[in-house]
Amino acid sequence: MPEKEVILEASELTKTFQTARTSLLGRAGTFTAVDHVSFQLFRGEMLGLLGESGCGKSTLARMLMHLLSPTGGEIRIGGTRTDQFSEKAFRPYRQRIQMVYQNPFDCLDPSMRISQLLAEPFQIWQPHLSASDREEKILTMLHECGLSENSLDKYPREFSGGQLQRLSIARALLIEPEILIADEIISALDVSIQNQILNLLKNMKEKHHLSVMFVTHDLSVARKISDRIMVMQNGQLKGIGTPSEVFAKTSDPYIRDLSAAVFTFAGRTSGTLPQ
Amino acid sequence: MTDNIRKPQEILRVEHLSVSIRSGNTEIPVLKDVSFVICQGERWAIAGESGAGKSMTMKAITALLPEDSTRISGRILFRMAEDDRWQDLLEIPYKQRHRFVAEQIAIIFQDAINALNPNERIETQWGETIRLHDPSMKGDALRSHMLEQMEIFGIRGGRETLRHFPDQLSGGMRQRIAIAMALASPARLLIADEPTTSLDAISQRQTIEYIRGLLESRRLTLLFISHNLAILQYVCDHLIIMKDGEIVEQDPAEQLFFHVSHPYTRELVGETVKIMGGNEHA
Repeated sequence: MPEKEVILEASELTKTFQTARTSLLGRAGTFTAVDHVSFQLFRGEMLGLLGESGCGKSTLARMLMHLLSPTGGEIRIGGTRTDQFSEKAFRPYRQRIQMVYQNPFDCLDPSMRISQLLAEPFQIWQPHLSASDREEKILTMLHECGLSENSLDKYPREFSGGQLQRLSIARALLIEPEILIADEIISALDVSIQNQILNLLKNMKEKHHLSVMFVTHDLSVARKISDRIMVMQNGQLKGIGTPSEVFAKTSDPYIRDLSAAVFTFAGRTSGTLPQ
Repeated sequence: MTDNIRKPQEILRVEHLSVSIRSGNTEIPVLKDVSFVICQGERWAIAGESGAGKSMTMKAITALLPEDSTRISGRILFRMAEDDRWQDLLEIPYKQRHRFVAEQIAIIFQDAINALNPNERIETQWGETIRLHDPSMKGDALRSHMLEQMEIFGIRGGRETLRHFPDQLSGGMRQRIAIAMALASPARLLIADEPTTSLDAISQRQTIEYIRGLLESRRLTLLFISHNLAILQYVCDHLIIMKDGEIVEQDPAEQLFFHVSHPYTRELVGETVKIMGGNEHA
């Protein structure tokens, strides 16, 4: 078996924020949102980042995206240390790491047609691409994401949440990134749509050899979709490994409580399900 | 009364309930011909995806829909605890309906932070609620009653907690206080609208266990609204599935989860099995 290639690596990554002063003469305190977190993301893997709200998972994602500078520690993308890069120096890396957010309604400009929204990444990252090449890429991507060509003339408000999330994924993948950070991308969706989006993400991961960091608060989902899972609590990494390593063999009391707290559903659907 | 032992007593009958929202000159129907019957001691769930009409049903029952912009038809019959008389809630004038509902039905919402007044200490607002039902409660008696209730409802911290403002408490703790306040009335029916959706997994589990305990100890009847079938399966024995403002199916929970007939329920159960665990789907 070939050696696994590390595509993204964080070592001892830390972020502290100043908290507001509680009295006029008091000193501002500090709050450690991410506390010496180290992990590796391998090429082609789906790494679940599991944690409750406030555990620091979004702060971690923002640091990886170079949207927030770490207080300490290092980030390496494809072996190059990037955390101290200026925005200009980081710019080439933006094409390699993309992010999809929880609420697609907030991410897609409501005044732009889908055709404009999908052309925008090319205008920014590949301005020399010919119009016909661009169009071809957009149509291929739309098709892969299960959307029809006539979506292009519509506005975001004409789509359902699930369709908009497909569009967000399409938009993030158009410029062929190597790493995708998916931050709670199914949390705002109904259960019948959640599976479709998860399947789309899995298919796209295989097809485009993506490395995905799947950020979620939902243990069942993390366990279902991830090759490996990392669990965070109060800014600290509590465990990392395959789902069975993390949940079955853990000695960490938080992870034990968390897996004991999950409600599982049992049901039977006689006959075959429409796939 | 011996009759009650053999046959559970009906306490809520919703008959042909329809609701539409007026907007300008048009009326948008949001609930269409919703009917169900809940008996004493039963644990009912309303499940469905967003926009199904779950919360709308709950709001129609609890008089939380604004009168001037909604039109309600049908009957919501509630059996009075005192004299076993049936009362149609919709026949009570809108303004008095609130008062009636507050006394007869305990209601808890998604996030207690919205149910509690952020500018008042817990002691102040809880005290007010208790005095609403028993105006004779005052001073030390009121405080020791609250401390007693805290014991019963598993709210830690004693006086210290009472002196806090809502935002100084954890989400789980706030929800317990909201539940304790809702149950300050002698209500027999508890309506819970997504009570744990905003809580993290561990407090969610604790709150659900806690609600289950209360159902036993207070002999409450439950109407639980949630999109989470796994939780409903754990708490409820009867289930209503809604979609687009209509009831798709209603049955004992066992029937719906394991002997699905309606295509929509089948889809919902199938998708939930895929996401939330169980390995039993054939």
